[in-house]
This record gives sequence, structure tokens and C-alpha cells, in this order.
Amino acid sequence: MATTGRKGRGGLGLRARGTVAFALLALVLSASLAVLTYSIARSYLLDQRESLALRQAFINARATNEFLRADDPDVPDLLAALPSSSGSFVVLRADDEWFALSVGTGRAVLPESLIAATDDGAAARQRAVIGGDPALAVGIPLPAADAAYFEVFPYDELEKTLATLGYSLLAAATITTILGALVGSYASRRVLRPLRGFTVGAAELARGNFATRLTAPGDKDLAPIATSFNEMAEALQKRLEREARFASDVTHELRTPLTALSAAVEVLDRRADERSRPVVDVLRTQVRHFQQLVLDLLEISRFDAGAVDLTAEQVSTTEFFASVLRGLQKESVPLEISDDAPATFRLDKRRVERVVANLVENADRYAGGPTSVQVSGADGVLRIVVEDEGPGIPPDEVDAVFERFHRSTAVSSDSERGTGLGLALVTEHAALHGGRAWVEAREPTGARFVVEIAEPPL
Amino acid sequence: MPPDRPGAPGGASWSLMASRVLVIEDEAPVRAMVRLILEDEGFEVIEAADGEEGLERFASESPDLVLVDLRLPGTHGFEVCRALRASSDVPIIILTAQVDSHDVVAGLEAGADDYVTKPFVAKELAARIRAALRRSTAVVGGHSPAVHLIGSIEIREEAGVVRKDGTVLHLTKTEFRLLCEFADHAGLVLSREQLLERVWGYDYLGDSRLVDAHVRRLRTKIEDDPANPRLLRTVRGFGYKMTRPGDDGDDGA
Repeated sequence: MATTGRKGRGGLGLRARGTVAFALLALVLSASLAVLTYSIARSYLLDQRESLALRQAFINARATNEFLRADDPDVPDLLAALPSSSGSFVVLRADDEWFALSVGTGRAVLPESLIAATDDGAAARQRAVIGGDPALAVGIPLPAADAAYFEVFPYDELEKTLATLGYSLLAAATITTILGALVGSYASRRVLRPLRGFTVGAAELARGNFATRLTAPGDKDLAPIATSFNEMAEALQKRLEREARFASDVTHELRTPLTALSAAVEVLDRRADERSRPVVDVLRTQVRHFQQLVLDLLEISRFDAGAVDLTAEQVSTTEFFASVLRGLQKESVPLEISDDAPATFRLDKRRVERVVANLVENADRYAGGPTSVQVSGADGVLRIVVEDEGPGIPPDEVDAVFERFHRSTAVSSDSERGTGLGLALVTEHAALHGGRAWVEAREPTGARFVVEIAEPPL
Repeated sequence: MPPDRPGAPGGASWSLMASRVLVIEDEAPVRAMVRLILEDEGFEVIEAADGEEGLERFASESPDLVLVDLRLPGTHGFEVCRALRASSDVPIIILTAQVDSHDVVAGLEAGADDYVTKPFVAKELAARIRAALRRSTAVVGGHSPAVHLIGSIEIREEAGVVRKDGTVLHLTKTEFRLLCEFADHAGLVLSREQLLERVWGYDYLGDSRLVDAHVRRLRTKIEDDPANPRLLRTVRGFGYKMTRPGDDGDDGA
């Protein structure tokens, strides 16, 4: 099972991607809406403004026409009297004279093309920049009075309105984008939430809790994942159970011939005569070695199958280790129980006995026997040290010696070979007690094998 | 206290010479080797290849001890133990392939006195058999009072009789010795190791599951409510304690 992460995705996680996608979507939607709204509003407002301007211009032009046809009209009075709206101003040509209400708003500001079109006798309008601002200029010929009426409507108010609208739309688009990001983040989290269950479940499996099952999430899109997970866990558990059962069956199948074989050798041993003695000795040694190898293999296979449990019980530290050494016929090895060692300790007697036995055998085989067994400890941890004064362990082998079937470069002094599993089993037994095992150099010579075990809860 | 008590050894060793062991084991090679080993050790051996045959041979031969393999075809070793216990307090030793397995505990619960794992060492097998025979034949007690009254339980050590509310209880020899050990030290906590040494004659490394299983069996016989023992109490992390007559746990009935 390779890693499932794809490199092309950069470092962005699902949540970040969800957030960005939602934000982009909101941005595109709100921006195009804003642009559309703005342009529609703009053209509508401009049209509105133009038709209003035209209407006003025609009304004013008609009034001006009437007025000019009267005798001796006072043009400036007329200009002041004409109604104006939102900053519009009037320029009037009567005969060949130009009139305007204020300075700077005379003929000069009017576009020439508009004047020309009006002179041709047609009403015209034109958008132009007048006095620096966009405006609509309307020209209406008044042929009856030999005059022309011009009115200029600046767009500045409209521009202001449109600017306000533009800013509002921009603000709305920004807010929408941020909201989109928030929704994206929330939605991705919602989507990912059921996956937390998977994370926890997978962690439980990894910890060795093979009975872990997920309850299917309500979402029918996610349910298949939970189902697959559970099927996987089920398969894993079945397989482990099968392996454990296999180990148990093998145990039985192997032990039966071994039992017959070792019993037969013992019977033979008692009845051996001068001539058969050497053969029986070889047989006995090899059968014993074979037996130990099978037992160690079975023990380690039970660890591998997870088919082990700790049978912890309270022991008197001194009595326990003394009887372990007695059982190994190593009463002569000094047993040093330090003052800080707990007087009683809860441990699995069989396993800790195997730990000490394997360390002692190891010292026998490679270092001329153990020189001391030390027990100390504090705070629910018991430390067992087996020392020897042999050649010591080369620094590059301090970890390897605990590996299965590690063959030391050191020469075994014992004619009987070890099983190659003794120290690996020491590690396993220690780990089952929530502890560990290691080896360090002893000064000035030799090795110190250290095993720490933790007291299991009652 | 050594398991050999004064007054017992002479008669016991004579009786050991004549001890007859029924071996119920389906594997012929193992059975044959067990026979050779035990005959070398001075026992007389009766063989049976399965549970049914074992029970028949037991009925017809009345052996002094039964050695039974747990995994037998047909009638399982547990059932053999239970069937034997229904009618007899003969010492039973089970042969099992796995130290770790629940088989050991289940076998002890079914009535076995002890167990030996395969592959076994000849000397150890013989030693276990002798220890079991010694427990079943040797006289219990000596200087301790002959009669204990604890709650509704009456123990007559020399007569080997236990009564509950006047009714005689059927205890195996191992159960009886265990009960006497508790009664002799009523009010004191006895560790599993002490009990292993005093009742079974084993050293510190003996399997304390032996003690636990026997205590459970004993409770089903002497306690009114075995799940809630008042006479034989567990002292967590230390061992067991027999209620002293007249103490709180004594209901005085």
C-alpha cells in the first residue's frame, strides 16, 4: 500500500482546497453580477438622464421661441427665467449674437459639430466633455426666431451616483468572496468530519486493537468507506486469529513428537552401555537443542500472532530472583538486590524467569558465565542487570544481538549452540511488561545486559 | 513446612512402590515412552488410548493416580476429569501442550490436581506424580487441633472429614489439605507461594494458577455463595485468608 498523496496537489490539503475553490466561485459569481448590475444600471440611468434632458430642452426651447417672437425681447432676463435642473445651463444664439448666463459657458464650450448640425436646421444632441466634465449637449434650432437653443446637462451627479453604486458593488463582491471562503472552509470541515472517525479507527488498528469497527456515517456517500474499512479490519482480525490458531495447532503437533523423542532419549540415556554412550550423548544434546529451538520458535510465534497475555502476580523480589537462580543452578552467582528495589513487584513469573534464564545462558555461552545479577528499581519499574566479564559486545552489535538468529562474531565457548532466539525473546517478554532491554559495556571489561519492566496495573 | 510430615514417609514410600498409574494418552509413542519412564521409576502403568477407554480402565483397575492428556479425540480431557471427579478423589495430573493456554486453568477447574507440560522431563514427571500421591496418602495435621469450626463448616483433620451444616462434603485430598492449611492459619493471609510450598511441595516458581483454581473449587463446596465468599477471602495482591471463627465474616449460623 503506497502513499496516497499526490505530489501535483502541492501542499494544499482538502480543506484549504475547498476553501479556495468556494472563494473563487464566490468571487467570479459576485464580480460578474456586479459588472452586469453596474453596466445595466449605468445605461439605464444614462438613458433616463438623456430623455429627461431632452424633454426639458424642448420645453425650454419652445418657451424661448415664444419669447423671441415677442417684441424687443430681453434675452438675459429670459435665460435667468428658464428653469434649470441639476446644474444644466443654456446657451442661446439669437440672430448672430450668443448669449449665456455666466462667463465661461458661452459658445466656446459647445462642440462645433453640434452647432453645425443645429445650423443645418435639425435638433441634435451630443455627449461631450464640457468644462472638464462629461455632459450632454442638446441643440435645437428655432428657425422662426432665427435663433438656436443650446442646453448643456453635466453628468457629474450621475457619475457620483454611478461611483457610489460601483463602490457598493465592489464591497458586496468582496464580502461575498470572503463569505464564500468561509462557507468553503466550513463545508470542507463538514465533509472531513466523518473522516476523523476513520483516522481514530485506523490509529486503533495500528495500536493492535483489531476488534475496532466503524459505525457507518449517516452520509450514504461515505458509508462505503466505513464498510470497506470494517471489511479490512475483519479480514485482518480473522487472519491474526488464523495465525494464532495455527501457532497453537503447530504447538500441539510439534510437541507430541518432541515429547516422545525427548522421553525416548531419556530412557535410552539410562540404558546406554559403553559402546552406545557416545551416540546417545550426541542424540541427547541434539534433541535438547532441537526441543529448545522449537519451544523458542513457538514462543516467538505467539508474540507475532499477538496470542500472548501477561499473567502478572505479586512476588517477593528477593525470594523470586533467588529461586530463579536456584532453578538455573546458579546459586553461586551473587544476587545483589539494591536498597531502592521494591520489596514486592507484580510480574509474570514465567516470563521474567525466562528473561533471566536467557541472559544467564547467553553469559554462559559467550562470556564464561554471569558474574552478578542485580535488581534495582523505582516508581513501578524493576531493573534487572546481568553482568559478565567476558569480551563484551562490539559497539556495532549492541542492537543486533537482540535480533532473531543474530550470529555473534564472538566465539561461543559452549559446544552447545544457542537457539539464536534467546535475546529476541528477552526483548519480547520485556516489551509485554511495558519495558525494554539493552546491553551496555561494563567497566573495565565485559557486558551489562539490562532489562527494565514496568509493573502492570492491578 | 516441608511436605514430608513426620509419621508419613515409611508407609508412603512403601505404597509408592506399588502405585499404579493410569495413562490416558492418544499418541501411542508418547504413551509407550511414558510407560517406560514410569516403570523405570517404579510405577505400575495402565494404558488407555482415549477418554472412554480411560474411564473403563479406571473403573476396572482402580489406579492410584490418573495422568490424562487434555487433547483427546472423542471425550475431551476436561470431560474425563469431570467424570472421574464425579465419583472419585483420585489424584489427577493433566498433560498439556501449552503453558500459556487457558487449557491449564480449565483443566484445573475440571478437577485436576496438577499439570505437566509437554515435552516433559522424565524426572519432573515422576516428581509431580510422587508429590500428588504423597498428598493423597499422607496424614494431615499432627500438632494442630483435630477439629475446626468455621461458620457452618466443621473440619476433622485426623478423620479427614469436612461437614457443612452437618452434611459431609466430598473434597479431594488436595482440596482437603488446602482447607486444613487455611483452617490452621485462620485470620492470617497466606500467599500463593506459601500455599504452593506447603500443600503442593513446590518451590517459589510453581504456577500460582494451581492455588487459584483450587481455591475456586473449594469455595464452590464450602461457601454459601461462592461468587461472594465469606469464609475464604481473597486479599488482593497478597493471597487468601480464612475467616477466623467469630470474626465479622462468620455468620454464626
